[in-house]
Amino acid sequence: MNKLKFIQAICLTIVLSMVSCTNLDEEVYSDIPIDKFFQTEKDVLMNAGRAYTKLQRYPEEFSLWTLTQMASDEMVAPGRDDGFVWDNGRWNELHTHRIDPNNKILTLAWNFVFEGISACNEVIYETEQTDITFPEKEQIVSEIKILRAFFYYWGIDNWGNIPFSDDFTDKNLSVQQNRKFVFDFIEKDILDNMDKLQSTPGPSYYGRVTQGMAYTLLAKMYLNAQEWIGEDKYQKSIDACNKVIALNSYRIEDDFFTNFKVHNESSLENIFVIPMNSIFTKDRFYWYTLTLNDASRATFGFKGGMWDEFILEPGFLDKYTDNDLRKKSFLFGQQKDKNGNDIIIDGEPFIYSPTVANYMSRKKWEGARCAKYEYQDGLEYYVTDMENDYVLFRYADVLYTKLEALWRLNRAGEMINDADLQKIRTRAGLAPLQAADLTNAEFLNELGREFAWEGHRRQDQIRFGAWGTSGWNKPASGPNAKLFPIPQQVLSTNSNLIQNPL
Amino acid sequence: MWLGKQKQGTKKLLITTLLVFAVIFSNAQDVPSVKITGTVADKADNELIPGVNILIKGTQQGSVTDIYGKYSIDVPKGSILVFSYIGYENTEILVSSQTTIDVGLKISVQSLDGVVVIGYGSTTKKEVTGSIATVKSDEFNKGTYSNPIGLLQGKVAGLTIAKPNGSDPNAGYNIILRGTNTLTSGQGPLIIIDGVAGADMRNVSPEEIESMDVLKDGAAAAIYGTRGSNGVIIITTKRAKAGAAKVEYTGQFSVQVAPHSVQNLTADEFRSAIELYAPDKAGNIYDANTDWFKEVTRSNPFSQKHNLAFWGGTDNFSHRTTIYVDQADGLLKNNESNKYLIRTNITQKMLGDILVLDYNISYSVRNYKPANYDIFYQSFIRNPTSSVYDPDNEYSGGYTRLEGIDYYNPVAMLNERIREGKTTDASGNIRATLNLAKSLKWINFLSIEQSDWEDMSYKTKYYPSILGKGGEAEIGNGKSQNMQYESTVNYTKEITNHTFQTLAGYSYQQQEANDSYMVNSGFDSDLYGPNNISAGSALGVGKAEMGSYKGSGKLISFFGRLMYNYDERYLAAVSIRREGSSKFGKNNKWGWFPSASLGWRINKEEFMSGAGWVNDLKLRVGYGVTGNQDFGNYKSLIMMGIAGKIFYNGEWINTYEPTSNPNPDLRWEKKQELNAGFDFSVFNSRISGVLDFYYRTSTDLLYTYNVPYPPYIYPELFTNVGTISNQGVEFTLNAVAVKSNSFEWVTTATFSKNSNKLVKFSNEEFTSKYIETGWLGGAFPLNALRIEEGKPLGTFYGPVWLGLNEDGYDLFKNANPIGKVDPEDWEPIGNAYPLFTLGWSNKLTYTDWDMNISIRANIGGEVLNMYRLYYENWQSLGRNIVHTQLETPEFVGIGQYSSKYIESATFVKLDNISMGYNLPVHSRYISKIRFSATAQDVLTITGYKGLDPEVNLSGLQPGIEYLNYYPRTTVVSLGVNVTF
Repeated sequence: MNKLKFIQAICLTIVLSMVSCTNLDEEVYSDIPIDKFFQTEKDVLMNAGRAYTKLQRYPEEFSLWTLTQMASDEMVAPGRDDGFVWDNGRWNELHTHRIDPNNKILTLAWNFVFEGISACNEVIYETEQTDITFPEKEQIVSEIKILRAFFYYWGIDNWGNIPFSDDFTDKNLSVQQNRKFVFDFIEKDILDNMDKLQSTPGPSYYGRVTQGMAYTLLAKMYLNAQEWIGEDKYQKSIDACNKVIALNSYRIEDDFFTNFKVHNESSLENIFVIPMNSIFTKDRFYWYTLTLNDASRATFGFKGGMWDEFILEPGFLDKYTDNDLRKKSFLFGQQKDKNGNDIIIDGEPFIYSPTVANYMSRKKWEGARCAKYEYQDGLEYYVTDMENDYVLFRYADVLYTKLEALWRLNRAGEMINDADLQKIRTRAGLAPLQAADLTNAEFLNELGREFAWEGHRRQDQIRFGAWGTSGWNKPASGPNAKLFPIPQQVLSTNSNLIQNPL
Repeated sequence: MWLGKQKQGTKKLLITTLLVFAVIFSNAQDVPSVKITGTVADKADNELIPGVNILIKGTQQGSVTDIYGKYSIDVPKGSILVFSYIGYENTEILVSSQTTIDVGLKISVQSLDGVVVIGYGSTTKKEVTGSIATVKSDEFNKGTYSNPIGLLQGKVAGLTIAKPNGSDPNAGYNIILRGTNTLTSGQGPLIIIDGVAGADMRNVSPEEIESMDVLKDGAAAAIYGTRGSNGVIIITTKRAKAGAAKVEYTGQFSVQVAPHSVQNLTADEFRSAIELYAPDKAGNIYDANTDWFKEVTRSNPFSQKHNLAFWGGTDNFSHRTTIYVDQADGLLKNNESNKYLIRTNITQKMLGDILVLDYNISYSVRNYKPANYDIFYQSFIRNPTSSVYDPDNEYSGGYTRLEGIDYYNPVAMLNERIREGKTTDASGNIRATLNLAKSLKWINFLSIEQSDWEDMSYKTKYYPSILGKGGEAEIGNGKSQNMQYESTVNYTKEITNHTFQTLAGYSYQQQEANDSYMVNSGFDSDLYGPNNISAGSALGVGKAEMGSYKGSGKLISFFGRLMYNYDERYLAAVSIRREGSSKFGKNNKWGWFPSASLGWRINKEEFMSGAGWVNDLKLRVGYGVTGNQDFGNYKSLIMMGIAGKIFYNGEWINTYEPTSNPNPDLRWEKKQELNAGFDFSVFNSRISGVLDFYYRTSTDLLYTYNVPYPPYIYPELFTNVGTISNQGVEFTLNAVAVKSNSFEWVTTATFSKNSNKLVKFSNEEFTSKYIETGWLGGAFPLNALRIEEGKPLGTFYGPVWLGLNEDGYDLFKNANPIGKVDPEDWEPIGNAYPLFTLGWSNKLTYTDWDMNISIRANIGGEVLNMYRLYYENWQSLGRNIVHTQLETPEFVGIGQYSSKYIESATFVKLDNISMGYNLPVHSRYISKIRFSATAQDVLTITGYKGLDPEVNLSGLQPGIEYLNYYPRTTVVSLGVNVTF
């Protein structure tokens, strides 16, 4: 029995010591818990920098760029002749302006904009809150504020009446505001922060918000003010453009394509770009996969298969005269391989033809393809993608914005002989614009030729009253088609929002 | 109650005393007595049974079998000996002239004294107050199963076990008990093997399972707290046994026949279809005649299983050790599974039976080559007139290559990839039972499990989807450790007719897992395979990938239970568990999980004493609360993870972001259940049955809700909001339909019906009243299912199809001007869950022959047939299409999602037919030989036009038969079992 008591005593001791084990704290290994972050200046910078990463998704397959492109007259994605239909009509909805609020591209484009805004709000709050200070802190906060303004600009451009919030700590559901409210907010925020931004661009400011970018944004806002809020702000647009010109830091490049080369960081024309890197930003910029056919692998040395999804809408290529060097933005005609020989597929010469006979049954060679951005050798989707920096604002845009604003005030003559302006045409091998050329249709065409596939088209078509007319396999659409529907998913999570008239 | 495992000394004393009395008594009677000796064994497997009670009928005298199953007794001539033991039918034998009587005891079909395993202990069938179903090894399904849970398929009312991946030897089963109770992952019940919670069933040989007890209702499962919401399945394996050393071998050899896949067109049908209906696709006709399905499958895949078990020992030290080998070839070429398992259980008694130690050690290795289901999809869609090989095509390595997105030569996919995996599991546990006093027991249990896995893949330079890349190698490996410690104290007390059983305990469980992977490509030679992964050129240019991850979690609980019965007539049980999990938010880590149940054995009442035909009549009712915490770690914390890189100040730097919305209020999902049950057993237990009604609500359901952003950081938040209710009825009927000397027919039928409803999905913050799930993807970017407040889960929503118009295009109800139906006009067009499920098992025995037949049926419910949706049209020609399009050739449109493709899922399946024969043996060395032949998945009767209407029903996208599938086959097996 003594043995028994002894055992009992030991066991009791073990039990008592075990029972104190009620610690349920989690141990994290593969992420950093927030209380261990924000220790140094570098941490603050890395946190703030993530707002910029939100821009990188812009040129993806399902994002804002494709939303506006497909709805414009620059791009289509017809069904293929081998029985493969692109997603059962979701691109067609965008093309014909009969968009279901559940449309995936619509939702992802919205997400692109609003995740950007949300990240900016949070980063602004966290950077202002933290005790850590360093010389560039104020400038970073201003840059992010302008970045937020840029996302809001996209928001009102495409959806008009959007939920608005600029306070990260406000947990209430955002209230829907109209274009005027957001327009005024953007304008004020830009003007308030302008002097904290870098004025002269340079290598260490490449890809970041600078005064040049902020003034360009203002200029475009003012240019669209008549259409968006019914107010004539053309003079303000001209003033903003002049501010950019006065910076004396930008030029029109001699070669149009310098702006779009693989290594376009040396371009003096680009004002605001999204820097890309083959590996660090893979799966962001992969137009070669989206627009080319497998046959083009021989031309450019790609690996992997091409999706052959997006083509230039038939009819657009006719806007270019044959001597317009900018026409080389698109691939058409007999394709040649790297050694200059004709590409032959299945015994037939492989020729990209700009027309498509049957909208829902496109042959694989039909449709002109985009080659505006230089395609580097050896690209492979999702392994190494394009590292051309994606151009959002460039100097030619500033000059044409000023010209258009003047033209709408009937003062185009003030600028028509400007050397830089003329260079835009002469470098393309064309005669400079004459006042007589500036008709409604022709101005729109010139903008189309210069800025094809750069995400401008929809905005330009709306301003020039060319949105909603019938076109290639596209019936006419009413005035409500100027605003995209708000995605259903968003309406169901925020009861403050009402849908745009469909 | 005599349980037969007494201390050596006391037993001897008892035997001697009884013998002495027997002698005295017999002398006093002055009747000639004779000494009878013999053995008592289990009639089914000829195993000798120690501790069997032998009584001279009409007296108090008797004897007991010793640990070798032998007995010896002096009996007056002409008396009757009664042999009895728990779980077996009493056998009476008249003593006449023989002096050696060897008795075979038959297992009692529905013994009221049968042991039922409940949480942390066991009780008897008659005392159970919760809803628990026990299935013993002789009731299991016959045949070969990739996971032992298949042995229970169709046996327990309310427990649905399905294998949606056909005959893939590496695939598992979907297990659902009493409907879907949660919206997040973690739908399956908790599996406990010999006390180890969450153990892997693949590490147990099916031959070694003694019984499986399913705790169905809240009252029974509440003792397991947070992991009990989906029910608990407790598996008990065959334990160490004292006695003469024995060896048992079981072998099974199986062959798969009659593969069943989705039917497409043959080469000739393809040619004539194009000529007649799609002449513009004539460019797709080539010269060959290829049966792609045949090219990628084995003709009669073979598998074998061998189980060798040996056991024996003395009362103080006994063991049972098993070696198990399982090799299975899959239908797909290069697909196989090989398992090697060794396991031992040792029981040791010390300090004069005060301390009993029970050890289990097991080690298993599973080598496998997984199947790529995409190969079956590619074999379906591939042009049957194109040849397999194209020797002139150097670029593709001599295989025919056709252009198109996601269109690959399946033979190339098979031949140009090596894929292997290996999992090594080692586990050990020890249970120390201290019998502190007659009614006080203290048990300490410690278990450690470690699992290591590795997975290698090498795609050669000719693998179709990576042509031009120069081959790709992938290596992944990982490890997980699970440690469990439990300490429980049991105390029983009997005062006159009142019996109390109390239990108090503490449990601590910790798991930790880490894994890593690496991918590289661009190899000069395919000869390395995955074994020289740094040799790929992608590494030097930053194109290789690698990553690693580690996570851990803890679960701590305190629990207690009190079971009371008065005169075995009024029963009550109460339990409580306080459990905390590291996964929940700072504010809510702990929860309370109580339960209470009552039982009334009506047959023990005075007014029932005359009804001798009633053996058992019990009414029971129970209520219990359980929780669910089966989701990932760290969901309540805000954590910073890498967000991408930006170009800043002339260099690329990393940026960071929170990886989800934080939620410090994250808490347990709670399920409350009320169960009322009725057990009956009549006519000498020839007919018995169980009827259960249940109603359960799960509240605070965890789900990833869409949130507006701003103000949130991300559009999703993982939080507690909704409520689901399930209610239903389960009925099991057992009958010994025919019982004669040589022929017996036992039949069991089960019926279950469950209906569920999403009671609530919204609150003040989340106001959406429904969620859409069942994303079809690909060419159909839409959600097919809608879960709406107030409606059942699993409801299909879509346009209503009215038929074809005169031009051969689809006509829909409420179509808009362009012929499509706007989402507001979609209607409910079906439901994935069956109205009710039925099971019917039969066991027939005729002398040494026996036969088992099992049938299952699901009545009602619908399935979405994706193959018809995609490929029942002429537009897809160029690729192959489904054969059913030949039945509706007038249809010329493209596939559009609608009720046209929602088909009835009703089926009746003949799951298995098995026949066995026990060879009569008279050898000293061999005590039993048995042969068996089984056919599984014999027959399916259904109106469904696709592959198999029994698709995945767990989770939030039930009822969809997807494009990636694995075919079904019928399996024919021959088995042999020998005991030495």
